[in-house]
Amino acid sequence: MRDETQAIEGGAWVFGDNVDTGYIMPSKYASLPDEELGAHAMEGIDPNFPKNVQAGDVIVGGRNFGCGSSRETAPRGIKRAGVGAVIARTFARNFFRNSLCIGLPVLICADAESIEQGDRVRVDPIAGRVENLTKGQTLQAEPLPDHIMDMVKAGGLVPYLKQTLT
Amino acid sequence: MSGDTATQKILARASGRERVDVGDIVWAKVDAHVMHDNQGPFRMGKDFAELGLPIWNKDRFMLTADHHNPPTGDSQSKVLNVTRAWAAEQELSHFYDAEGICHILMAEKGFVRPGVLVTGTDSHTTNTGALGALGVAIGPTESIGVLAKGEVWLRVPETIRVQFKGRVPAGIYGKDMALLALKDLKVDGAEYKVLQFEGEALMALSVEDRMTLSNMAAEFSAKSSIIDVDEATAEYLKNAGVEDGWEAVRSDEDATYAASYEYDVTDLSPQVACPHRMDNVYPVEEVDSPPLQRAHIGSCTGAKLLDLQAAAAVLKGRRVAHGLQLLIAPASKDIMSKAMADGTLGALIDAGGVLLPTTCGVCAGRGPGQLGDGEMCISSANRNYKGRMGSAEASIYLASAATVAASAVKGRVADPREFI
Ligand code: SF4
Repeated sequence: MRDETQAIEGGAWVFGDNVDTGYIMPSKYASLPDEELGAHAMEGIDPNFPKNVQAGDVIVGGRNFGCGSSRETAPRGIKRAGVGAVIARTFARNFFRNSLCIGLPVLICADAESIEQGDRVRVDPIAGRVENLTKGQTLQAEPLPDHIMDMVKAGGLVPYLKQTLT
Repeated sequence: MSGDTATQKILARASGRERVDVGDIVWAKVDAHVMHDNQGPFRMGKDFAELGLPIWNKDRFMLTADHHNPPTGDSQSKVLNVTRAWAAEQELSHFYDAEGICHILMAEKGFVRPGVLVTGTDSHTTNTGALGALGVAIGPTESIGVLAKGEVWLRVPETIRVQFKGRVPAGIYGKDMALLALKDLKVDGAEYKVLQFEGEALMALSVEDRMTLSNMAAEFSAKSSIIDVDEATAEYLKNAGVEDGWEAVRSDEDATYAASYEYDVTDLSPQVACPHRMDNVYPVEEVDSPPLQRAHIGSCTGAKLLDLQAAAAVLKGRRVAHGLQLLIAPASKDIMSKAMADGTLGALIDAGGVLLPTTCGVCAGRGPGQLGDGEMCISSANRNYKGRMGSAEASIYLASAATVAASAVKGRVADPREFI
């Protein structure tokens, strides 16, 4: 699990609109165990991504990021690849919910597209803040409802359910 | 105060409130939940076991093994075996192993009733809309929450109204209407919204064919879809063993919509989505395709009994083109036996069709019949982005089963109206 005390900081990988989960995690990897998913993250759109991504890097999408199939292997693969957070103008709802459930920070940012490939970015998911260190800009993400923030703070749905149900 | 949409009413009821507004976040009780092997025990079994809680209601929960079944190798076998072991361990009363595709089984086995909320770990859970229920997709981790509590949180969505007017001409199906609307609204046209399909042309379709639209609501990125309930719906439900215990929910006359679209289908041509986007749609007469190597009649979208019958009507007494292979994967065993009984399957096989299992198979990019580099395919399924059915270097056209059948005969994308 992500260490909440550590800021997420890394390089930005910028993708466009309507990035389908079929590109984020191609169907052919659907039966791979979790540990092996990271090696194929984003492969359907950028085969070099898994080789070059660094821990803490941030994915930046346009509109409707993660559309298509509701496969949870998409955010799981991204998380396993070491990506610290995903920022997009808008997300497809399945991808958004799945990410929050598995503890991958996702931030809805109206100005996401001001971030360019390779920009150095620092993300604080609890404050909903995205700092573009390269450009010296700070972006504010759309706030999330309280009960979702509780889940984000807990690190995902399962730890949250453990706290509240058992 | 303006009236409420059907979606608002369903969510108000499910959350025990008098009424809800668009944008409200509610905790809603789930009437039925479905999970499949691909987004099921293999991904969430361990976490669910750690919680140590029982399943909230086994009578209202279905598990299917349809995505990796039958398995084609070691990693798929593992997923399938974990799924089977979990079903046994949880003593599930509704586990369906290679019996059909989850969305079709949910409808056939009476898990879907008008006016209720359904969740499922699959994007095409929207399929329930044709039976007047609100079906919403969630992931396997979130499924743990539903299994434990029988509840899910949802934001009350806006509704987009899509009306189909006029008379449905011969050779035109729900698929053509879905593609027509998709061309206009685009793949992100209904993000976070519900698509309400209506109009006399839509209601003239069989319930099975209305499902093609509610199913493909997912391709518009919709949260869900909803269709009015009529006598045909009641008849369908009766055949699925749902005689009573449900009440239709309708949008008020003065309900507020995010947008409205209207299409007259009287002069509509068969529609085809060209590679590699679902909204890259043209009327069949404008599509000049290269030779096809594969035609596929399968998936939860395009392999219901009516789809198989429509294909058989085109293929009866004909042969598929030289150099083309036609794959047939009925969406459930029940559909397959009905198609066997009425001669549909025989006609398809005599025409050169190759019969595949009643599971997702090629539609999920798995099983036999996957596309190789450079291959061209026409399919009655729902998605055509690169790599969906195998190689990322393959190309997929999407159309109705009738158009797929006509194309199989001609070896290129072809108009089914020439054959009927
Ligand atoms: S048939 Fe295709 S679209 Fe339907 S559930 Fe299976 S993989 Fe998904």
